[in-house]
Amino acid sequence: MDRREFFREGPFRALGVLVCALAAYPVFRFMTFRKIRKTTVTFPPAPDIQSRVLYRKGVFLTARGPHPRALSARCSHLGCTVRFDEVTQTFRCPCHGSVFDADGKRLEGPARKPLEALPVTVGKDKEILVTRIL
Amino acid sequence: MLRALSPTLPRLGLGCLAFCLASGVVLAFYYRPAGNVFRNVEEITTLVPYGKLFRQLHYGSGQAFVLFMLAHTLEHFFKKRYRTYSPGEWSRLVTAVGLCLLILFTGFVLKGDKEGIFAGRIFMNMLRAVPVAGEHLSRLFVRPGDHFFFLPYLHHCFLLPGVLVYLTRSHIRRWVPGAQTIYLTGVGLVLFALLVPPRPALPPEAPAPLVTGPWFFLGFQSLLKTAPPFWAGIMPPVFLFAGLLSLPFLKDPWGRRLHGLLIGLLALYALLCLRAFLAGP
Ligand code: FES
Repeated sequence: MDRREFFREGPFRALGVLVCALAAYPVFRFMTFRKIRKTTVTFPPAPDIQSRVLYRKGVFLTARGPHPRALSARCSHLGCTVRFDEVTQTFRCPCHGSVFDADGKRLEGPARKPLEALPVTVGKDKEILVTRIL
Repeated sequence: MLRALSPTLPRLGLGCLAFCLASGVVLAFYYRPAGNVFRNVEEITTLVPYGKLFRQLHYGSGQAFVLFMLAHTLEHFFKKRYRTYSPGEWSRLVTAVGLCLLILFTGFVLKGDKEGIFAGRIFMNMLRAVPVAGEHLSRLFVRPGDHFFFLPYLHHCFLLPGVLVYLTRSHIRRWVPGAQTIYLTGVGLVLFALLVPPRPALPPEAPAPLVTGPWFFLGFQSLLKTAPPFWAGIMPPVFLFAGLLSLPFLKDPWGRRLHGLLIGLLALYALLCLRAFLAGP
């Protein structure tokens, strides 16, 4: 490209790059928008779950102590679903081997945080309702 | 012997790609990336006439294509052929290698079994570990919730293959396979599809003490056990690709040193994958 061509074409090219950059932002924002969706998981009333760990749709419900506690089954490392080991009373992740105690506290492995505790409410028929983000 | 293999590998690879695309189109008539994907894939394998054949044909041809393509790329790399390419052409080819692995990975997720779902979640959460843009970046590939499989499907079937063919269009022309190669590839792949049964799949809710990712991801799975996701899952591939991309720009001795370093890292990663494959990650 010679000098004259450069000065004739240059501004148009610069404008093209600018327009692309300006268009890229709304496109990126549109493509990456996420609406937070929640789901409610229902468990049987508290007396029925005494001293057991129940699992339903990504939620563990434990009835240790006076109140039932709900824990997310998503491993706090990279999101695999942990399983409850009855023998050792621990949650174990099959992906990279993180281990959590029955209260969700991290014991070993690459996870740094405990299992997420989820809010628990009681429904009108005494059923236990746990809300989690999808 | 090796000299004869050199032009054969990419031609065999492209033959496999043709079968992979064709079987993928057939599978798309029954596969649905929503609802119970695991059951849908099981139906393809056990209920739909010739479903198992087409599934295995797609799987075998996809794996073979990537293996031939990796062998072809390694040959270029070891023989320092990047010196004969323009930097633009080399960048397009290196990007294409990354896209091929991404297509294979999204295919692994789309199986809809426990391994596939976990691989998708791990990938999503690893991308989240990228500073600043991580959260947004992850949403371009996988989203949690009911539409978990939709974006991997979109990438696997349309976007990634489209970009791959576009980037390699001039390179592909050099290696178009002849009728004999296509015929041989077809016979080999059909035999594979008929004789090798699909790996047993774990339903998403089935308990499993250990879940593993695709073969080329096993090294990362091992690294993720000890290092934080950003350093174990994001930086090594970024460094590798940045290194490969910058090869044509560097003059010796820096070019030679980087070439040596990349060989060392690739060998190390291959060993890590092999160890994880044999003894578990
Ligand atoms: S996802 Fe659980 S240890 Fe990595």
